[in-house]
Order: sequence, then structure tokens, then C-alpha cells
Amino acid sequence: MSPDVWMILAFAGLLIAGVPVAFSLALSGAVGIVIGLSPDMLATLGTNTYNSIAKYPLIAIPLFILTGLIFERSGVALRLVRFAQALIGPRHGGLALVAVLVCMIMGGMSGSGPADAAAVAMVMLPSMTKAGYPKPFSATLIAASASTAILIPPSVALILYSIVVPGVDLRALFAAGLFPGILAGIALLVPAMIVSKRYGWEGGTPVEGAEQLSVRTTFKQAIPALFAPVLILGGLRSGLFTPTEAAVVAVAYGAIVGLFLTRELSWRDLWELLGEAAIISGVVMLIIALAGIFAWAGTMLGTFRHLAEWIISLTDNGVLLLVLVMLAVLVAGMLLDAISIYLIMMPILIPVMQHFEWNPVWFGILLAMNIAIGQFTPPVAVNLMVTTEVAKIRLEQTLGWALLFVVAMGCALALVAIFPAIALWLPGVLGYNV
Amino acid sequence: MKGFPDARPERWLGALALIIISMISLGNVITRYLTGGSFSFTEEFSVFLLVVLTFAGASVALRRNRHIRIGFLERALPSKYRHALILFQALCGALVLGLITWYGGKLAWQEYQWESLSPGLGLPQWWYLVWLPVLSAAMLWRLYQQTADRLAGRLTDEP
Repeated sequence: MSPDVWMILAFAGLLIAGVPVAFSLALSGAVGIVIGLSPDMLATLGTNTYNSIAKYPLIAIPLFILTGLIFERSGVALRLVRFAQALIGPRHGGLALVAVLVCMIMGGMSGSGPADAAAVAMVMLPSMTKAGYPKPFSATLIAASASTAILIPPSVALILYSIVVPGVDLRALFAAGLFPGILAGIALLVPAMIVSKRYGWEGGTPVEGAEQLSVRTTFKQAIPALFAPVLILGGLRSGLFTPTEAAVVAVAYGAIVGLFLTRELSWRDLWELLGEAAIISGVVMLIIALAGIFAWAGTMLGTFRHLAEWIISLTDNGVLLLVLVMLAVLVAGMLLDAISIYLIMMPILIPVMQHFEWNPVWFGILLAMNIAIGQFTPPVAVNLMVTTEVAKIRLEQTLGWALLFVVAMGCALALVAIFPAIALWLPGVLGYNV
Repeated sequence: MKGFPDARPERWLGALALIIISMISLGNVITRYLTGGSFSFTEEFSVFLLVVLTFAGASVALRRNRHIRIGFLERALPSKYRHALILFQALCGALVLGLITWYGGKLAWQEYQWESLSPGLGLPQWWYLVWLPVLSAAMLWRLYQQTADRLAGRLTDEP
């Protein structure tokens, strides 16, 4: 067997055995180096590990993770929910609409889905259950809506995509993710509203003992939360900040809101959140660090080139191949997180993308949508795991609803695939290079 | 994350690194607007802190068994094979961390002997590089603790 095959088999075997993704990447890279090159070249484990993460643009990742954590602890989710509830009022599917909207706004201030899913589920699940929605439905809807966080800027996954794929402007990616993210939210909302109406969840009469929310007061309380996405996106758009600077400004803003405006954050909490952010960043960044070894070995051995040539040789039909790639990424998305998928698959897919002349920004968004769907597709669905845990139900109970929302978001994905302008129009208008 | 085992020195180190990164970046934004110039030499230091943050955070996550992995085989196996699987996972982790500690240490040692200086601040390069083997050695220790806990059933495998 060739070293290529050994390396890929080792990687697959280690993943299935439950070895952490980061270690699987490094070890299979090492296997490839020992078999295909020379054991002396293992020295790259020192330099490569350091250099893979010693990159300035990556600093935005821990900062956006910290932003998300700070906003969640500042009681921002609750304030957004109350404002949205006051606006929409009690009606069939009203709370479902609130859940989707709040998930999307939360996605506009943090960079990853599972954290948003947890925050929104904790605030929304009790009131949704009281209003008559079954728990499996609510948990699935929140998990699915929170998955749009990797599309709606800022997105940790898209930051990484811009680093892995040469010549892609991060600002263009961020702009391109906005409309597909909103479209995905609408796609989830349509079946959610139809189902709520059909089963008569949350009637026209208010629930006994529910307080009357005034739009004006709740809006005042929600202003600091609503201003955060404006600050981040506006700062990026106007060229006021680079993505890293936007991230740090968001951290400072979130800390000020939590410490002095909502007063739900103490200095002690802040220190704990810093530790928590360091741990989550450690998990994400270790994968990036050790994927460097895998990427180096795969490039030196020509593994990625061979795989890419094999994929291209499958068919001349670009559309068919795009569908195949999407299916493969969807399956990967059920098993792994977005960062790992980009790191593992992009070295192979970049030549394929160039061969068929797919637009890299559009392709990145399609992949992100796919990965988003994977995040709430059972059996291995990160977001669903989080929300079902909050709801205290088993993952299996959500299966039917999950499939409904997978199909719904699949339709949104198909729309973006057929009409690339949905993604590429905004960055084009803003004058970014796409 | 209450009820999880802690790795306090690494958690503090990671939090500290993140604070300093935030302060430097924020300072950079503010001075850029006030004076128009930026102190780009700080990039080198921020990037170094990012490496410290990564490995310190990863060390705590390792202690808590929170690294991203696919767990279905473990859940499917009867418990007598599960112990063997946990040992195999630990062995793989130890191999990777051992290699990084060894080659990272070698790299830092070479830079020390060559007395090479960093391009931005002109500090000895090994000051930066030595953190890689030190922290990956710490991770080896946390891996040992975590494996012992999992074998004794004190740490669940659920994410």
C-alpha cells in the first residue's frame, strides 16, 4: 500500500476509535511521514505545530469566542427575547418566530452555534413549553436556528476558511454569509409556523398569569444587545476595524454592557469567562495546530493532489460533482465541527474548486450551510445535544422534527447553490473582491 | 463548568494570555485612531501569547475530556472492551504529545544555541519556543490524570 492510503486509513481508524480529532490528525500525519518520507522529517512536529497557530488573523478566533460568552452571561438573550415577544405578541407560532429571530441576532455577536443554542434554549424552552409547544419541537427548532451562527458574521468557521483558502477576503466572506444566513432562518421559520398553526400551539389568548410586555420598555432594555451586531458589522463594513479589531472592540463593549448596564456580570464572572474562553479556544486551536502536520504530510506525499485528481476524474459534470461534494460535507458535518472539516477537506477541494472554476467565496458559504445542517442532523449533532440536554429529553425524540428542518434548510442551500447571487450580491455591492 | 476536574495553573495562564492579547489589541485600535500609527511590533508578542493560550486551554480541556472526538464506538462497546479502547486513545495522545515535546524541546534548544533573535522585538527566539515543549509536557500529565479518572469511572465520556 502507498503511504497515502496508510495515512488516510490511519486517520479514519483513529477517528472511529474515538481519539480526539486533533491527535488523530497529528498521528496520521506522522504515520504518513514515517512510511512515505523519512523518520527524520518528524522534526516538523516541532516547527509546524508552532507555526500553524502563530498567525495574526487567528487572534480573532479566541476574541470572538470570548465575545459570545460575555454576551450570553450578560443576560442579553433574555432581553432580546422579551423585546421580540413584546413586538410579536401571542399568536400561533409567535414564540417559534421569537426563537428563530433571537438565535440569528445572537449569531451576529458570537462566532459559533452550540453556545448560542444553549443560551437561547435556557431562556426560551420554559416559556415555549408553557405555551403548548412540545419540548422536542422547541429543542430542535432552537438547535437548527442556532446553526445559522456559522453563516451570520462574525463566524469563527469563516475566519478559518479565509486563512485556509488563499486569496479570499474575510470581509467578502462575512458579507456573503449574511443573506444565506437570513434565508436559512426564513426556511426554518416557514415549516415551524405551519406546524404551530396546524396543531394550534400557543393560541390567540394569552397564557394565564403571563405578564404584559410593553414594546417601549423592552426595547429600551434590548438596545445594548441590538447595538452589538450593528457595532461589529458596521465597524467591519466601514473599514473602521479589521476583523481582529472588531473582535476586541466587541469584547470591550460586551464587558461594559455586562458590568455596568445589565449588571449581570461581575468582575469575578469575567475572570471565569476568560478561563472558559481559553479552554474553548484551546480545543479549536489545537485542531488547527495539529492539522498543520497532517496538511504538511499530505502535501509532501502528494496525497491531496491524488485525491483531488481522483475526484475530478469521477465526472466532467460540475453540477453533479458539486452535489457529491455537498453530500460528503453533509455527512462530515454530522460527525465533526466546521473547523475540522475546513482543515481536512479544503486542501483536497481547492484543486477541485479551481478545476471547475467555482467561486471560492460562494463555495465557502455553501460548505458552511452544509456544515450548519450537519450540526442538527442526528445521530451526532452538536447543537441538538446541547438543547436536548437543556430540555431534559433524549436525542432520539427529536428525530422527526430534525428531519423536517434538515429538509427545510436543504432547500435554502439549494437556492444559494442555484442562485449564487444570494451570497455574492452583498459583497459585490460593498466593493469587496469576490 | 461545575463538577469538572480543573487544571488551575493552565486555566489561569490561558485566561491571563487572553487578557493580555485583548489589552494589546485594544491598545492598538485606540492608538491608531489617536496617533495614526500602530505599534506593529506587538504582533509578534500577541501571536506568541496565542500559542500559549492554545496549549494552556487545550491542557485544561484534556483534563476534562472535552476535546472534539467521535464517541459512538465507546458507547457501543461493552465495558470490558471499553477499558482497552480508553487505553488505546491515551496511548495515541501520549505518542503525539511525546513527539511534540521532544521535537519542540529540540527546536527550542537549537534556537538557544544559535542565539537567534526574534525579527520584531529582538528577543531571544527560544523564550517564545520553549513554551511549546513545556506546555505539551503539561498536557501529557493531564492526559495521564484524565485516563486514570476515566478508567476508574470518575469522568463520563459524554461531551
